[in-house]
Amino acid sequence: MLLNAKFEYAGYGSEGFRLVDIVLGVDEGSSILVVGGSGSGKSTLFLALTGALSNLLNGDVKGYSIVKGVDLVSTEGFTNVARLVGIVLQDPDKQIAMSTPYDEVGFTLENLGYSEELVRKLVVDVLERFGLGSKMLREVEELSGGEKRRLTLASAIVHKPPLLLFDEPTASMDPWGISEVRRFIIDQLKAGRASIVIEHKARYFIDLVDEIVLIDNGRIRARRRTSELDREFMNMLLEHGVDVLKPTICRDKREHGVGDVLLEAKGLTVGYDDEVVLDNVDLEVRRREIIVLVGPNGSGKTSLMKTLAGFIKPLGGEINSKCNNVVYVPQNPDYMFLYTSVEEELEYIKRRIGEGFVRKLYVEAPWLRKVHGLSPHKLSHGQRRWLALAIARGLNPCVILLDEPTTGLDLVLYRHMKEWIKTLLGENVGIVISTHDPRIVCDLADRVYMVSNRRVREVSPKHALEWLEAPLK
Amino acid sequence: MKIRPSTLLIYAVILAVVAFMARTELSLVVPAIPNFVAGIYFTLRRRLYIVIAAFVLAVWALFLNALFFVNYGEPILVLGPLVIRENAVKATMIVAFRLMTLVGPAMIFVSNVEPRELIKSLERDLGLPKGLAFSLSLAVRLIPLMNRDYNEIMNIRKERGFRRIPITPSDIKALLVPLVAVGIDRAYWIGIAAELRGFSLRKRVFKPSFKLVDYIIIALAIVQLVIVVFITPLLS
Repeated sequence: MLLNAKFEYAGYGSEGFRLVDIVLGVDEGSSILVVGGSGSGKSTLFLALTGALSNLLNGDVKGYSIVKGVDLVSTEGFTNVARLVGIVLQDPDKQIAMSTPYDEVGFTLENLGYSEELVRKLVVDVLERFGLGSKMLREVEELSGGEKRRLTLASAIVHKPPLLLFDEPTASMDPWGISEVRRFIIDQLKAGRASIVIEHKARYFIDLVDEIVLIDNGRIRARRRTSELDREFMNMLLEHGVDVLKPTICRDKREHGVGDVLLEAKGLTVGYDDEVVLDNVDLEVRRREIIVLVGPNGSGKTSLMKTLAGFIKPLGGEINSKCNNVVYVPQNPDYMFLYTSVEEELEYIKRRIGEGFVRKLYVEAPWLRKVHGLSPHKLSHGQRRWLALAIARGLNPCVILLDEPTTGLDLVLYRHMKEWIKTLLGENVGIVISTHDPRIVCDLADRVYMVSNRRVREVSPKHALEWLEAPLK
Repeated sequence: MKIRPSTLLIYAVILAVVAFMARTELSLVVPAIPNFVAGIYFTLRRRLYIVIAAFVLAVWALFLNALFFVNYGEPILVLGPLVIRENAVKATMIVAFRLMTLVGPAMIFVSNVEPRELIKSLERDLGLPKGLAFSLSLAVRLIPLMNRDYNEIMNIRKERGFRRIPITPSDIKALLVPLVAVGIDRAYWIGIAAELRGFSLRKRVFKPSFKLVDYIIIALAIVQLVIVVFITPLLS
C-alpha cells in the first residue's frame, strides 16, 4: 500500500475541532475521493495526511500517515514530504510563492537539491507540456485563472512524487479548468501515481476514483468502492452537502413577476485604458429579475459587473440607472468587511437603514448573537458570505451584482444561498449573478447572458447549461 | 555587458554611505554630479520626468526650509524684503547634492534590475540566507496581489460610503483590517505550501560569479568613498 494513514485523533487541541478514528489507504496507481460538507474536516484531513498539522501548526495528532514507509506525522518523516507528495491547493493564489512560472516550478526542485542544469531542463520540459512554455518568465499575475491552476499542477508533478493530494482543486474553476484537472488526474493515474482528491463537488470525480470516503464532523461516516455505488449511498452524500447530481433545468416558470427596468446598458464598451474587454453590450435588469452571466475565466464577467457598479469607467456606450444604488458584492466576501467585529458591521447597517432591518437579520440568522464580538474574517465561509450579502442589503440597493457567490459552498450552503437570493427578490431588487456554477443557471436564472469573445449575448438557460457541461463530457 | 544586480546594489549602498559621510558641499560635488548624470542617462526611457519633477520639488522645498530655519551668515541676494544668506544656500546645496548622490545610483538600480533577478543574485553572489531570500521573493509575488486587494477594498469603501482617501485613524483601520486579514490568510497557506514543497530542505546557495565589470563598478564606488571621506577634507 502506498499510503497507509490512521488517526485516533488529529486536530487543534482537545477543545478545538478534531478528526477522530480516521483510516485511509491508497495503492499505487489508484485514487480515492474524500467528500464532505463545509466544516466536516476535509482541510484538517489534508493537513494531517501531509504531516503539516503536527509539524507546522502545533496540531494535536495521534496516529500516522505512512507513504512508502515514511511516517509524515513524525518530525523526521516530515522532511521527506516534498519527495513523496505533490500538492494542489484550492486557490492557486494561496499556493504560488514565486513571481514567475519558471521559478515556481523550479522551487520544489531547488529545495530538493537538483542541479541547476537539471532544474532548467525539467522546468522547461514540464512548462512546455502544460502549455506555459511561452510564459515561463512572465509575471504570475499576468496568467489567467486557468493558467495559474495549470502552473500548480505542473509544480505538483515536476519532481515525480508517487502520491498527489488535491484540496478542492475545482474551487472557482470554470468548466474548462475543471476538465483540465480531470485530464491531469487521469494522466497521473495512468502514470502509476496515486491520488487523493478532497472535494465537495463529487460529481466531477466519481468516474475517476476507486473509492469514495464521506467524512462528517471529523469522522468517517461511510465509504464505498465506486464499483459498488448505490442509491442509498448517493442519497447519504446529498444529505451531507456533497454535490453528486448533474444539474438540470428544473424551473420552467417564473415564480415571481418581474417589474420595471432598473438598470440598462446600451452599446456599452468595457475595458481598461485602450484594452477593450467587451464590446457593444446591451443588457437590462428589471425589478425582481435574476440575470445570470456565464462565460470562461477571464472573459470579462467581473469587468462588466464592475462597470455596471461604476467602479470602472465605460470606454463607450451608456448605462442608465433608475436608481442610485447598484451594489457589487465581490467573489471574496472578506473584501466587504471594513470593521473589526460583526457587531460593528451590524451597527453600520443600523446607521444606514435602521434598527428594524437589523432586527430582521437577527431573525434570519440567530447565530449572529453568538459571533457578535468576533472579527467577520473569523466566521465560517457560509457565515461570511451571508454577512457580505447582509451588508449589501443594508446599502438599500435596487440592483445587486453578485460575483461568483457560490464559490466554495457545499450543497447545504448553496441551498441557503439560494434562499438568501430569493429573499433579495422579495425586497424588490434586480439581481445580476456572474457564475460558472450550473446550479445557479438551473435554479435561479430568469435570463442568461453568455460572455465570451468580447461579446455578451442572451441565451436560453438550457443552452447555457449545455455549454457549461460540454467540456466535462 | 551584463552587470550583476548585486553589484548595482553594492554600488548604491556605498554611495548612500558616501552621501551621509560627506560634510561639505565641495566634497559632495564629486559624487553628486557624475552619479546624477549617470542616473539620468541610464534611466532615460523610464519615467524620467517624474524623477526630475520630484527632485526639483524636493530642492525647492529644501530651499524654503533653509530660508526659514538656517538663513544666516553673509547676504548673497537681496530681493526687496527677502534677504537670502550664505548659510541658506550652503544648506540647500549640501542636501541637494546629497539627494543627487543618493538618487542617481538608486535610479540606475531601480530601472535596470528586475526584483526576481536581484533576489537570485543576492542569494548566489552574497549568500543571502534562504529565509530572507524567500521572504523577498514572496514580497515580489505578493505586491501585485496586495495591489489587487487594495483596489477591491477601495471599491467597497466607495460603495459603502467611506471616504475615498483615508484620513482619520478609523479610516485607516477600515482600510487595513481587510487588507491585513486577506493578506495573512494568503501568507498562511503559501507558507504551508512552501514547507510541503520542501523549503526546509533548501540549501544556502553561495556561488559568487562576479566579472571584471562588476569589480570595476565596486572599485569606482570605493574610490568615491575614499575621495569624499579622506581626500576632500584634507583639501579644505
